[in-house]
Amino acid sequence: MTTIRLTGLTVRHRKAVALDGVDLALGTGVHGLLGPNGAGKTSLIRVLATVAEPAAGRVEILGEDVAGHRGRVAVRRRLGYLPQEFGHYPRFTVRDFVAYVAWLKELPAARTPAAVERAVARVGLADRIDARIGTLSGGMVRRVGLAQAIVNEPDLLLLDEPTAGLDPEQRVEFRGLLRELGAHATVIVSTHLVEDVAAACTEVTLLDAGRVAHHGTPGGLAALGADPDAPGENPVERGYAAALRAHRAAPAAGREAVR
Amino acid sequence: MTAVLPGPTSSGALLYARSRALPHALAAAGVTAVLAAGAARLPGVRAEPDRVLFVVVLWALGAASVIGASLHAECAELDGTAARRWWRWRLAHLLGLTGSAACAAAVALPTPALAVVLALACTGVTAAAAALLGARVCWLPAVVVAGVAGVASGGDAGALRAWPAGPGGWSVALALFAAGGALHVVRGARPEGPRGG
Repeated sequence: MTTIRLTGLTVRHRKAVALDGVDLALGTGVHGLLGPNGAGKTSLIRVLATVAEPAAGRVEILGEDVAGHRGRVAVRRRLGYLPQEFGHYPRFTVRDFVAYVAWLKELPAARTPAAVERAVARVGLADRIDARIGTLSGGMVRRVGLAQAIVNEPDLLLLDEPTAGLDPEQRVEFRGLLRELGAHATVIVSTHLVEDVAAACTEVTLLDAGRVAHHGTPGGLAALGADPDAPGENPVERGYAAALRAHRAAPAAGREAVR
Repeated sequence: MTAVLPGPTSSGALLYARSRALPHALAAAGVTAVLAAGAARLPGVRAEPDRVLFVVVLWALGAASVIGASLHAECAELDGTAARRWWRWRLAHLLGLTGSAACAAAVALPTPALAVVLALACTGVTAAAAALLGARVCWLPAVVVAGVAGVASGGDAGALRAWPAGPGGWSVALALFAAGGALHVVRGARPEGPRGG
């Protein structure tokens, strides 16, 4: 079932084009969003999170057109979002902060305490739930960010560089959580770490210069990197580089076909 | 999954107030009023209307700055995904703090009408600046306007002292407060950082 449908999505930052007429349809599962810096990953995530408005195109999320106020609010209740920098309140405890986001999402007050405790436990911070966020390590703060993103058990979860600051063990646990969440929700993970995509994602979208350079499965991306002499440490990295090269070499008309 | 110790979860209104440091803002507004009241009653000040005026202007700028600083949201990006209607909270926030500051001035300062008029005008300018420039620098335009007005008056403070009693004094102050407040209530403080500008 398609939960996100983008048609001709164009996003501009002042005069620069961040996304250039992107067409994309995504359903339940974990979707990796790859691409070099400036490819448009964060711009796409922010549009899906309803914090940035497109310059052109149509954005349909969970059956709602987010151009209208009513549709946007309906989507926001069912949305979880971890921005690259979420700017926590240092004096808040973990419990306070996650409860604050539950309140933003209009979660019923009676359900909030249990939802907060469940979300915090899922990211492995149960023993720090009443610690002030300002006293936590960077990796723990990142996990607080993840807890706030899942407190409303979202149908669409948007994670922008979620594994930044996590140690290897935490990343392994995080991938397990991603797979668990992706069984019932649409999870979109923007990352530079292709190993996260290979390990946890069911689909991958590669962006380059505001366009879709490749869309398929991690296995399909790895197949593009079958040549062991090509640059890259593993098949997915080699496939990533090969897909980018092919996209950049393709004439404009060919790019349209890829989209 | 480790078990979580159950604990009290604060209400949304309380969390909102703490997220904007409203208790600190209220305390700061109270301290500002007490300091201004003390300064206005100093022997070298209370007999000099111009010096009293200077204290009241400083108080109004200080109170507006405290209110403006409280409009800053650390989590603007997450706040932007709220299903909740922000305008009601922004309106209550602005009216609550401005009302508290105005009441404190009316009780504590020797020229309450002038103090309230100035506070309304300065807060209106500050709220508009928060929406357009961001909450961290929103105090600046009101300070610049006050400084320019002081220089332009050429030391004649009589017109400013008479402002509340003059035609349109209250109207201008209320219009500034309403316009700046409306801008903030509709748009919120401008997000800061790489995506906010």
